[in-house]
Amino acid sequence: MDGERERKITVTAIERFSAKDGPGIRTVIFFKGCPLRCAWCHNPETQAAEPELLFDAAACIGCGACVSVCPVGARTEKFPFPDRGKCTGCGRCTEVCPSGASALSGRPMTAEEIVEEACRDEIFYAGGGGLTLSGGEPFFWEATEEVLAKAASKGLSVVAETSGYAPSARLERAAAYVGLFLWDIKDTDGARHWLYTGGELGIVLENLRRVDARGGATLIRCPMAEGINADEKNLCGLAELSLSLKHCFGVQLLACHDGGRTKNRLLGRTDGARREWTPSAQNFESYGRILRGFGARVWEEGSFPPALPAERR
Amino acid sequence: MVFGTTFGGGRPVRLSEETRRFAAESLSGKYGDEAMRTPWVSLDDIAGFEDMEEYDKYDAMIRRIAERAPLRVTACEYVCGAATLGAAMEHVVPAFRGGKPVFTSVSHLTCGFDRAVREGLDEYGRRIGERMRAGAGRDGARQARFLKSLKNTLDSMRIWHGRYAEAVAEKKPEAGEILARVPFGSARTFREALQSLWFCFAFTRLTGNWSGLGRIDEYLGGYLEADLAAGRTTTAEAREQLASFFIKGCEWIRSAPPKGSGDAQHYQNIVLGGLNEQGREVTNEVTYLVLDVVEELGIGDFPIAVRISARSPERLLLRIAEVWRQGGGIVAVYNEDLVLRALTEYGYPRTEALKFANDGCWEVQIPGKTYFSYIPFDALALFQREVLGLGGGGAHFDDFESLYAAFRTRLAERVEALCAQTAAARTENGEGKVWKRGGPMSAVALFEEGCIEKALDYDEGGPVYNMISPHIGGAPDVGNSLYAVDRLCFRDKIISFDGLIKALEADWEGYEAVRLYARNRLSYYGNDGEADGYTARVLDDFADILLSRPRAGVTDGLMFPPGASTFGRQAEWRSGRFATPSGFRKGEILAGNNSPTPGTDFAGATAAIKSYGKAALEKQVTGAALDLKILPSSVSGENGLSALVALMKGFVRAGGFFLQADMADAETLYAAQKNPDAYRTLSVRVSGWNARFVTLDEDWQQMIIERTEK
Ligand code: SF4
Ligand code: SF4
Repeated sequence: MDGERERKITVTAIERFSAKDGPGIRTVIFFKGCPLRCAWCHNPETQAAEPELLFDAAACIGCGACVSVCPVGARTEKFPFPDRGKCTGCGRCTEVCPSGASALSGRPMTAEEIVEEACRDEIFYAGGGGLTLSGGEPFFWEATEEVLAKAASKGLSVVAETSGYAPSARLERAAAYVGLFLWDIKDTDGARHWLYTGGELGIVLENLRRVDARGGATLIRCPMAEGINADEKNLCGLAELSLSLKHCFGVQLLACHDGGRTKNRLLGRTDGARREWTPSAQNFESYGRILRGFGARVWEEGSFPPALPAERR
Repeated sequence: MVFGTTFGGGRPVRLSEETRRFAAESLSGKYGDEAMRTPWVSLDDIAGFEDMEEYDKYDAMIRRIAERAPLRVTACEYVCGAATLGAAMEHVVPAFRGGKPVFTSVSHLTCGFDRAVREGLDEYGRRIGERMRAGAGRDGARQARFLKSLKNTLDSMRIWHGRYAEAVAEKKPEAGEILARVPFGSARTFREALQSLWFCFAFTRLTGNWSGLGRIDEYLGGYLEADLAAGRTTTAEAREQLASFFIKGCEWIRSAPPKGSGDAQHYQNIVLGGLNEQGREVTNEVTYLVLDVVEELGIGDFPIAVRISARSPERLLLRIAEVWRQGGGIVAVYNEDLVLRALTEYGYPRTEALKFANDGCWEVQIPGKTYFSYIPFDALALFQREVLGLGGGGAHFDDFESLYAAFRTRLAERVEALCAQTAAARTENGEGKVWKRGGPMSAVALFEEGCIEKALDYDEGGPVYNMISPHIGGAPDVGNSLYAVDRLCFRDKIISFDGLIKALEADWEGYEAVRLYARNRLSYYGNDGEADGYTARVLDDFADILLSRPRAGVTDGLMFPPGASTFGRQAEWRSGRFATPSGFRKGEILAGNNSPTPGTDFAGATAAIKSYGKAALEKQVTGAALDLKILPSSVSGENGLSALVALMKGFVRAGGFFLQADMADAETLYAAQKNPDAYRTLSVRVSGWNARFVTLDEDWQQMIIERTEK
């Protein structure tokens, strides 16, 4: 990778006015690139680190503009579907596509640009809002540290939604800046964790302990997937884990859903969460109760502990 | 309104079972239907009515209404008096001759009922008498007749009051005692004040007029505080009584209302919170009780606007957010400091500006002393016809600035013509100083400061302030059109100017690629981007045109303050419009008020607020509104409330004027399924995941609709 590239981060979406990704109103930056491959991934377009072509056949008007600009011949006159084998994600077709049928997921941004983007909504951050790094895995990128430093210099509160699957030293350094980690523990059963995410639980836990040792505030989050991790064993593990940490606010359960389906379709993929993994409202409620029974502090969806800006801690 | 939707799940229960039942009856249309069975009183037996002078006719009509309108006293009500004649809902005085109305009535004002509550109406009688003795002015006989009409109106009100006092004393002795004192005597307690306010309001309604109520927390708060301190009442009691006021305010809801501009919109707006004349925050127990009542009963008939600022108590903002989340769009907010700046910069003394409420809709005015009307016009149609030359062969421009200059010239001409025509139509010398005679309006003039003093009726210059506000409509789409022309023809050079005119004349037929480029590749007003500057320029220039017209002081003659709105006219304006350079075809519904065009605001509520705040909105003296639709699921949970509070604070800091935030309801979502293009920006938020509603598979959409419904 050349120097220029290294300092940039591939961002797939910027969501302003989110009330669901940390306290207050937050601007959420979705980073591309994730080392895990969760079977239920809701944002499959964030897995690969490089920009990817999204193609919406329903919106295509067959004008052929993409065909004439594609440098690798991934688009042909007769067949507007991109040849995924050939496509390099260069994005040239998306620049000429009038209908938006061809769109690029992922645009390289500097740390500066990311923080600037978050600052646009500064007037709405009264009451604890700010910047949320999400993804993908925000700590997949070296330049994320730059984002944190710049955000701190602007007095922005930063929340990071992380899988904890990233270089330990980077996470440890981040602990000084991040006001709140929304830390995903996909499962507290190591074997299942490996089976459904492709990652080692031990690494996630080790990183979590290190960040905790550095005073990093965390809220553990777990997506409940019926028939996979939605059982007492996991809930007990989550409770124990949260209680074993010094700076952990507690646990927030999320319901696994198959909302990533549309995105998978646009990526030309068919995998993703299965319908039967989504817990019923009744079951989901009972998981919260069980978790409480194990002594954990449970945070309802849509409620968050505070996330103070770096300079105020 | 269907009963089932009125008490939707999740609404708190604070009121008694009885009061809730009363609300259910009223909201289901019981009293509105009843009123339609006695739509008017007949004047047919009055000999020689046709030959009578206008004020003689009017006074006879008001008297007849007072004598003959059916009385209604319900078992649960704490305040008495009812507007029982159905034709009042049609904006006419409900006394008919030969089955036809004689006079229309008045709306778009907020009467000064507060003064009547404080002083008592006997004092009004004394003032009228005094003024009569002082002799009339330029138009002696007519002015003397008008004063007499005020006196007659007051006498008729006394007749109506007498009938009620008798009926109530018999059925409800406690309420009867109160009614024996007010509104003719001054109110001493909260309950008396509430009854007095209601009775005056009900009388203006009975006679066909639609007035707003203004700052009822300011008017009533002191009475309640004193009562609570003295142990004369409790908060719970006061809540029941106030609920009665609101429930009775729904007496014009019908079970099967005729289709039109929406059920039961009779401009009975209420304004809460903000500073009083002494510069102290008004917010008090009554403020919170009003919010309690509308939250619980879901009553949308008294649209509420709260004056908020950096000084607003956190509890107030939180309560607004909670009511917002119940849906229905009942509560809106003014950015108080910006409105005050708008008024004082226009020339109102600060002590007067501090009183601001609205006309019963959201146009700002000083209540109880303002004549108001407005002149809406479609700036987009003007731009399309007179600047682009659509429908007439097409114009040509070589660069953006000459295009814009042509627009500004046409805009100035149109605005000037509107003002000149209005001044000529309404005043005798066309200069806005000496008014032409209007129809009799004594029932509202009685409650408008200035009318007694000047001995002039409501629409002939009687009130202290008189304004007719030109309102620009379609500014966001003019801005978007200008931006699109600039990008398509001059900057990106996608199509030549003449080519674009051809495409627009052809309603984009045969130019699909360019249309889609315009529609999808350009980012328009509402996304906190460069397009906002074009809309802001249009709005600011429009305001400057009006503000730079020569004018005297605010109390001297007719004023033409600027404002920006469409009030739903974007639907009826469709037929006079053409395809837009921003990629819309003829007939599509475009932006309402100062909101982004449907389907173009991708960046969410905060960006829309910032875009809106880029114009110098303090120049829009009578107001400029932003409407936001938010999916309830995106602001669920505890943090959803914090986010809504933060949104209000940001709205204030962004320099907004008036914000109506509403939760998208299931109906909106069904509409989105049918017409995805217009709703393609509706954003669904779940933790760590985002999607556009219209891009979701059908079963996901269904799930979100279900969540919205419950
Ligand atoms: S992204 Fe680049 S390589 Fe892929 S189809 Fe488009 S132009 Fe071709
Ligand atoms: S440029 Fe876009 S609309 Fe045209 S054929 Fe390619 S994908 Fe379809």
